[in-house]
Amino acid sequence: MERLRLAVKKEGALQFLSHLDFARCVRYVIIRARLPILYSEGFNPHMKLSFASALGVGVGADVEYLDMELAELVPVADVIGRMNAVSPDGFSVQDGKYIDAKAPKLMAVANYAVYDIKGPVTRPISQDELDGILKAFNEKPDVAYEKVSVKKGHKVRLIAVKNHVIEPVSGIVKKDTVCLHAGILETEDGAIKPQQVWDVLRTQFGLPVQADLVLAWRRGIYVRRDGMNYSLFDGV
Amino acid sequence: MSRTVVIDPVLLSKVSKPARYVGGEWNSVVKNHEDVKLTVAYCFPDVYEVAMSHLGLRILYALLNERKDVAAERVYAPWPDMEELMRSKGYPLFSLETRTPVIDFDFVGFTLQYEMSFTNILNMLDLAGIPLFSRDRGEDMPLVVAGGPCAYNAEPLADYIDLFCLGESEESVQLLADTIIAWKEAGKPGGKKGLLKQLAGQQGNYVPAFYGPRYDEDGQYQGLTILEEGAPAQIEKCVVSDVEHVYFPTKPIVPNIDIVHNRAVLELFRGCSRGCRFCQAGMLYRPVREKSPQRLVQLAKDIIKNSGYNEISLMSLSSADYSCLPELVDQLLDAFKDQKVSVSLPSLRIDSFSIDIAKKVQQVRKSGLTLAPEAGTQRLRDVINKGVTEENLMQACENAFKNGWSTVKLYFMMGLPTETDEDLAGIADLAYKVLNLYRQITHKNNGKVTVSVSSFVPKSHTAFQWFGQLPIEEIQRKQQYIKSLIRDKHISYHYHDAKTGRMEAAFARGDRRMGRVLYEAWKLGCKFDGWTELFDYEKWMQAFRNAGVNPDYYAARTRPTEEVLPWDHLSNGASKAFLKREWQKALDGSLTHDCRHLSCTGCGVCPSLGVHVKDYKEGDSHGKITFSC
Repeated sequence: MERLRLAVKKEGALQFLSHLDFARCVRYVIIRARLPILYSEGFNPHMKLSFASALGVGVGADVEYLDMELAELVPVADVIGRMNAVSPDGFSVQDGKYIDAKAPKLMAVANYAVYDIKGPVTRPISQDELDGILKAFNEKPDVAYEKVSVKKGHKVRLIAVKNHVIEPVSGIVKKDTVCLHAGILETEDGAIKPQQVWDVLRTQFGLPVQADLVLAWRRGIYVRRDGMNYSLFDGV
Repeated sequence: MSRTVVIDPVLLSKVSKPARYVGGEWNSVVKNHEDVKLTVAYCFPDVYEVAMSHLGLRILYALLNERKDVAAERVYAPWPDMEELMRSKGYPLFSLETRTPVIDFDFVGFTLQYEMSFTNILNMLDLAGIPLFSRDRGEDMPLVVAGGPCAYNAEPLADYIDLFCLGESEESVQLLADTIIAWKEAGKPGGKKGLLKQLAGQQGNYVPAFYGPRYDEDGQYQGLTILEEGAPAQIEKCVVSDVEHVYFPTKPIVPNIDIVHNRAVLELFRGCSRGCRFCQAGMLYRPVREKSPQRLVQLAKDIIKNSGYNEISLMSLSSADYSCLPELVDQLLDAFKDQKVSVSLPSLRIDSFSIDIAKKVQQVRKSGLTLAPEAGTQRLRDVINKGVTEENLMQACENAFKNGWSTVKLYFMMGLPTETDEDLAGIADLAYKVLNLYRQITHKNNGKVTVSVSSFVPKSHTAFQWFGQLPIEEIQRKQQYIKSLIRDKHISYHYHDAKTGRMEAAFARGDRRMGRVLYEAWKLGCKFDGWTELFDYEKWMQAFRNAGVNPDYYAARTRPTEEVLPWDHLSNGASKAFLKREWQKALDGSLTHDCRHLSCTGCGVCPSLGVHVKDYKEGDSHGKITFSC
């Protein structure tokens, strides 16, 4: 068995897919590319394919990683060429590397994601004003976000935002939209969603935006260790 | 330069399933409109997941896109949340491939699959900014065309559609495209009317504006008057005589989101001549024409290779009737044995043979089994010419239970001609017999039988086209009566809302006056009427009142066979005399055999359209004498 890790893009039409739909699309690409992928045993065989994260509807990504198990070694360049020749609009393989079969799962090691978070403003805002808002957020040691769970009978959970947003958030004003740049760390307590960071800035720091008019774009995903970000190809 | 509709992604991400509106699927075809001579927007008046599951439009889409001079694109009905966004921001209806506004296409084609999608057609035209009524559309507006089974009773849509195309379009759509291109290149002689006059002379084409309805002093429909010289009195459907070699797409669009039927589709044959008297499809798609197993296996291999699908569905009106089914299934299973591709049969015939085939294709998971006896007693099954017996059903179930199936779904209809409470009691009896058979065979006390009973809707071009639908109260009484007879928790009983059926029946047998009702209903906000959660019966009743039309005049009235029918000018090739004879035979409870295997039964389709039955086991029908009774 050969374990291949690929760096792929989710953009364009695929930006609007849920994780399950995205995963199905990738499976079709793998079948069309005729890769010797392995399947689980049993009545309902599943492809040996796993992802670093579950990107939600609307969230595009410059890079997402996936691992697949192949029955035999196919040169990385071949895999990339064959998959890209049969990919729908919005999916492409950027890079790949064979990794140790026993390496920990992507999900288990990928713990730091960097996002652009963008949405329209509700009133004109200057770059200085935005910088001021972000400065206030960045300098405040503790920020709490109340997460109301719709599924679990409106149970409220407190998220310590600063446990997850550990680097300063930056941002720019472009005409009537604001675009923030933020890194989010996943800890044993989980993580915070980019939209929730947006909402914290809106409700607690006066960012003039709407709660639900926001889109996140993931710029990168890394292994973060000792304050450094490592690529999922070699930081393992 | 063509315009494109750009939707703010932030807003788009707020609607449900935004991927419905972005295209970009594998095998979708994107062309530059500057490089082609004709642009076609194929519209399905329902939401993406339903629309994308329809084979017919996929065939025409791929077929036209094979041509260098044509760009065919897809347009589906936006779900109400998306419609709201489009209307509030002023986004017009646009195509999935190039996001071109529908109004900028040369030709806008709607498929008419079910009556309850008609309000969506009006709504889509409106969202596109195209005037609803054909008389209000100027020379700069696209040609609005419609086809599909509901085109056989075109009259309720006559005021909205420029051109109806009857029958199978693989060949005729090429002529249609050629004709429009030639007309454009010649500088559009005679304007749109000049084009329509030319098209009206081609087989299968019905230009409703060239005809005017006549009514007598009581408002009784008397027929159509030809208003334009050269328009034919009778429009006959187009039919593909060589189904073996007719175009079939091998590069299906693979949707990015899950759809209703998300699998590869192989069409085994066209037509079904079992002759069930309620069935419109059985009449519209005659005669039976099979593809050869060799051709089907080759198509299947290409489709799987080009799509990446892991399931292929063998589709036809009655797939188990395919003469070479066992060989075909063996060859397919063999061809795909190392590829994890499964084969599925969407419909089963009620006999032990079908179960053997099902066993073969469902080697692993024994999902539920669906059988359609349609009526509860032999007497009524003979009336509808459903040539199955209780013995057939029991043998099929016995075979299934012995081979590991434990759930059976039984489909029935109610409100059929001559039906009595005894026939309804027969439905409950059959359900109990099947359940008891399961227990007897397996010595288990579980098992599950699902009984699903729909209410009958009389359709044009069938032997039951004259028969009136029962009043809603009577259908509801019958529904409750069956319910009272089923008292076992292992039998679950479902029935359909009678109100939707009543609307369907009014359109299915309506004339041009139903077009007014449609307009009123659309104005009141009716849309997606086929969706239970969006269907609003009260609004429809209001629409009938506003239009001054009584739904029962169309839906509930049993019509004398000599009455002029609103679809008399639209022919599937079958003679009215044949239908009258079948109607009489139904009332006598006598059967008509399947002409696929035995002698011609005289429906008239083969001689009037110059086609032949093609069944690989029976041999070519050369030598079979066909006639019209």
